[in-house]
Amino acid sequence: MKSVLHFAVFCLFHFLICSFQTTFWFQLFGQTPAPQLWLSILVYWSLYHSMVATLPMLYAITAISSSLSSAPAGSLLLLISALFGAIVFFKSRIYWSGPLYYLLVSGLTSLVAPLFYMIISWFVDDQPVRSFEFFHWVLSTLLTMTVSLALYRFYSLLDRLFLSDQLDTISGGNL
Amino acid sequence: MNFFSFDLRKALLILGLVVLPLLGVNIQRTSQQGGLLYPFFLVSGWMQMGYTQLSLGVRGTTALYLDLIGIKEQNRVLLQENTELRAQLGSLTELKLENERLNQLLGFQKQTAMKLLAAKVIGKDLLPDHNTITINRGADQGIEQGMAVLTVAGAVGYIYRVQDKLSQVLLLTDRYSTVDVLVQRSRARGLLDGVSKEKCQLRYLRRSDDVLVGDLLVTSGLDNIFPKGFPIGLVVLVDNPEYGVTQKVEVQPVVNPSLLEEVFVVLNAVEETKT
Repeated sequence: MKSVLHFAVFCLFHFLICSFQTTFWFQLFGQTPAPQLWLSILVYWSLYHSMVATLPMLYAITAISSSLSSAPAGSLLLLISALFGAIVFFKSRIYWSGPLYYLLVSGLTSLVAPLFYMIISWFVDDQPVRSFEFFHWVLSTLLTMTVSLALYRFYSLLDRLFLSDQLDTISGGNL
Repeated sequence: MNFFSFDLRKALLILGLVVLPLLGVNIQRTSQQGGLLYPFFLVSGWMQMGYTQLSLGVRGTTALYLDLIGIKEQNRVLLQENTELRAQLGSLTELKLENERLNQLLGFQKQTAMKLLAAKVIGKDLLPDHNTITINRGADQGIEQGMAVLTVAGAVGYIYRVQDKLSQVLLLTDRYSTVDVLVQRSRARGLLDGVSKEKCQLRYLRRSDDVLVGDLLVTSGLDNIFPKGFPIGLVVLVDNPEYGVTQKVEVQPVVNPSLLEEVFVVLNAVEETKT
């Protein structure tokens, strides 16, 4: 039951941060590139939860994100799965515990996500991505890294609250 | 001592202390000019004027210093008031611009026979690779999927997802957007695809079709989305290769999606096209 509640809270928070990114940030800052907040939960779960537990979260993130984007759910699921695989691969090669690692991986994910999506669109879409905004890409990545530490603290807190009996295996116990 | 012996010192004392004052009182009664005392009057006058000028300078400097303290305080108050008024002016200027914009929209709404629903842009797409906006009108206000979205400057996009209170608009610059258009001058027809935030591409334009840089593209009305004749974009590049069936035409939208704040949703575009 606690696990289900834990999952639901993360889904709810994903709704909140995606809405923040698409609406609140736009209302405040207009066309200024927003941090890629929608990737934060994906990165966190990929790093600090088991693959079996993360798989439903990938689908949930896809469903929630596609409600706020015109991206097809299939392309989005491909992208999220590719990012998950890349994060797991990276973690198997380089890993250290702590929030700085999460900051690094968040930044790298924000950097490679548009590239992955461009590659996916070449294979899947009739009209693939044909433009790339470098400044938008860099600024968005920097902003993502800036907010990632705060998000890491919050996610770890949620893990400690709901999964206190599993703290040996997840990051909540490493704070 | 002999009574008649003369003491000079005593005489001078009596003269100075009794006789001369009495004489002086008499002289003062008979003369108004003060004859012997005039030089004294002259010199004292000079002295008094000097002192007067000096006291004026001192008083003025003191008053200035004292006034400065008051002026400084008054200046601080006025600066603060100025800052507040400037802030109010900024917001009033914004209100004025919004008022002008809304008046323009209202005027546009009155001129056309279309049934238009005004909406405010409140959000944009989650992914940067997609160009969509969210507006604050939905099914509750009669919006349906596929309805055209316009501004006074031209076409913006169309509704691709509707919720009760919100709708999402696919902008013409999105790569999933395809609109049937005409070159206004030559009536050549093609399909306009979105490419990036600033660019669209006109497809299926035959090599023989007449299109030049600067031509205005308008909606053809044949896609049952947009009413006919609404400006879409301007041709910025025409690439007519030596071989091939079609020519490559790049188009810049007339409406800058980055500046959108209010839009109109056309509720009866199909009926407008039929008329």
